[in-house]
Amino acid sequence: MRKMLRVIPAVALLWLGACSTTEQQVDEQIATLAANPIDSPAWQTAVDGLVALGRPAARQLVAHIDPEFYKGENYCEFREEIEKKRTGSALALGRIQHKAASATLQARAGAAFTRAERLACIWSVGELGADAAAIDVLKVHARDADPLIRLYSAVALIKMTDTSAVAQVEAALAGPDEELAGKALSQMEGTNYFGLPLLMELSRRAPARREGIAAALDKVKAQVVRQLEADDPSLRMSSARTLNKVGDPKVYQALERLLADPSNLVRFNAAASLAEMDQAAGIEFLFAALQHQDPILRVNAVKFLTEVQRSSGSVQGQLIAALSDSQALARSGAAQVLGLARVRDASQALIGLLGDADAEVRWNALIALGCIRAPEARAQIESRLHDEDQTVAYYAQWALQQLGQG
Amino acid sequence: MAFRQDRHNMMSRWFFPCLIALTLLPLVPALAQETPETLLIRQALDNDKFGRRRGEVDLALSAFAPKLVVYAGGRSADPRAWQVLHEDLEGFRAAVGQELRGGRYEIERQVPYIHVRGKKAIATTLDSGQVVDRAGGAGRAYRSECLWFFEKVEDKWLVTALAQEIGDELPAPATGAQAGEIAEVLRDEEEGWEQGSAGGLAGLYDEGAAILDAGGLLRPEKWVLLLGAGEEIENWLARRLQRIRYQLDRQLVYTHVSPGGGEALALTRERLNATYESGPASHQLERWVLWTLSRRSGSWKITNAVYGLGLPQ
Repeated sequence: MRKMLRVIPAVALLWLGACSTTEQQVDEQIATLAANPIDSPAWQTAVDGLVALGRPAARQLVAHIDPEFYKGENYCEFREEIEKKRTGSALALGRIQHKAASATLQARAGAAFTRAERLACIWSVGELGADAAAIDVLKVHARDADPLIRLYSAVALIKMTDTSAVAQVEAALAGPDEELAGKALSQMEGTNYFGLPLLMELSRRAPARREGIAAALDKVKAQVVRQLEADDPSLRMSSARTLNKVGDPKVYQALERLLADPSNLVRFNAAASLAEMDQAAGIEFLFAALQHQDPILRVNAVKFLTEVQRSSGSVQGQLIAALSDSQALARSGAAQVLGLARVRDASQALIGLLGDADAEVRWNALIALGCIRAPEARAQIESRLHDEDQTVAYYAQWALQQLGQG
Repeated sequence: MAFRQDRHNMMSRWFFPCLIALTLLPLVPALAQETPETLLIRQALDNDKFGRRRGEVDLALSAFAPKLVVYAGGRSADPRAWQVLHEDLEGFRAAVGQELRGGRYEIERQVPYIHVRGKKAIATTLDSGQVVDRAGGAGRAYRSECLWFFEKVEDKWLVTALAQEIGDELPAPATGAQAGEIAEVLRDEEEGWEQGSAGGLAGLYDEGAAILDAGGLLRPEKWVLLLGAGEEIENWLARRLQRIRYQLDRQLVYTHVSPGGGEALALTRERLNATYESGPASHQLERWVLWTLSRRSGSWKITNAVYGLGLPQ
């Protein structure tokens, strides 16, 4: 106990010492920001240094982007010096992913600040991820008079899965301004899996700068494929799901490896991407899950097969065939997917299931027919109103309501 | 009948509160910007106004600090027209007493700007109305723009300096005569920056000194207090001079020392250049600076520095 009492102050002192060291280190890097032109190697190194300090530096960095900070003891005579500090601090906050800084950064993205400051704040807001307030602010800046501010805002929105300002990126890439187009490409290279679908689309239909777009696409694709092996399962999952249109054998192989991933969601996202690209491994995985004893796996299979069917239609044949499977779970699951994806061509096969021996298959067929709103099924649905299984009878009533009185 | 009586009672109960609320409604945005401190400052300014209206010197001066400096603005915001009018409260009291004995001040006061930072504040006022001669009864139009400097002592805001009768008139060209001792203080200040001597520089500033930013404006309606609370100036100097080397090219344009020799004003034009220990960047700026100085403590000390005055290049 006595030893403990002796150790506690020593630990506290060490901790306090570490705190002051971090503060001093931040001060040193901020001094380097002030003393070097924005984007110069030394300035960039200082930003890297702040990023390396990580979250313990965030409080000081947030302070340095606030105009109030430059009053009192921190008063600075030179606006350019403040610009260098604020721009570097804002970029570092974005790279540190300090989400609590989002509101402060949003407030410094307005016209009262310099272009470099605004661009850094907008970029960082995009890095911090989606929130409703940030999206609203970025949408306003996506209509700014300055095309570069518009471009950065559009790219930040893309990183928040909001594609409302994509036209700004397209305009920058199609326009005569080489510098702006270069910025558009470099910004899109930083969008990770969020920007991959747009880059793929642009690589197919952009009227100009196709080489640059292809190069940006290759970089982003390579990054996303690398992320399939990341430690963070959410990163593996999102990366796997975005590779659903990259027809590349190497990508197929990488996704197939994920079918054995420890995370359920990673496995299903990889399988869905493979299935959308008509790859047997993915389709088989999802159909195997559809008749698995584990209900969670079955629910996931229904969800992802529905997505695949809706986006690519690549599993329609297998789904209709599965309605005749010997396994009731497979018939039941396939009926659910066909109903949720509203596959009208499946209505006759679904009508055939209304006489199935398994009650769950019958009621899932009724739900599917109700979702599809197949009028040709009315008589057969009515025949189930007095089914011996009460759930089946209930869904027969429900399906008739979906068909309407006519 | 009972119903009519109830309705009458209800109307009379609600009519006046509603009327007052409607009357106050336009004031809501203005009041929204008020803080307890600005309300106290308005109260201090009201005391001066009501004292002048009633001819009560004690009421008029109830919010003035004993260490008071009053500058005559010469109907200009350009400090080259400014002079020290009174260097203590007693001199000012005698002058106000004489004014109020001679005339009745029928004035209204607007307070367009109040800026508070810690225990210091500045405010501008615009008085208009007429002064009626107590002997002859003749009235003359009265209009006066003032800049007020406040300091909070305990719970009370006290006026520490007042620039009276500022305006838009252009001053006559400066005579060129400059007080040598003021020039010396400002030269020492310049050297302090160049030598990186935070301690030496801090010693040139009065204990209650403040540094303000005029933001490129000549008129004081948007001036802000930058530094002045506690040891802020000393700490700021230490921070800036730790990693930055300054070069100053200062030209003394105008000085004025009060007849009593205790207070002074100066205007400088200066070019500032900063280089940094941690990199090759250098920053420059040119600015006008208004200085106020005092010799109350024995030697000349800077009491206020207003950076970035909006005078032509």
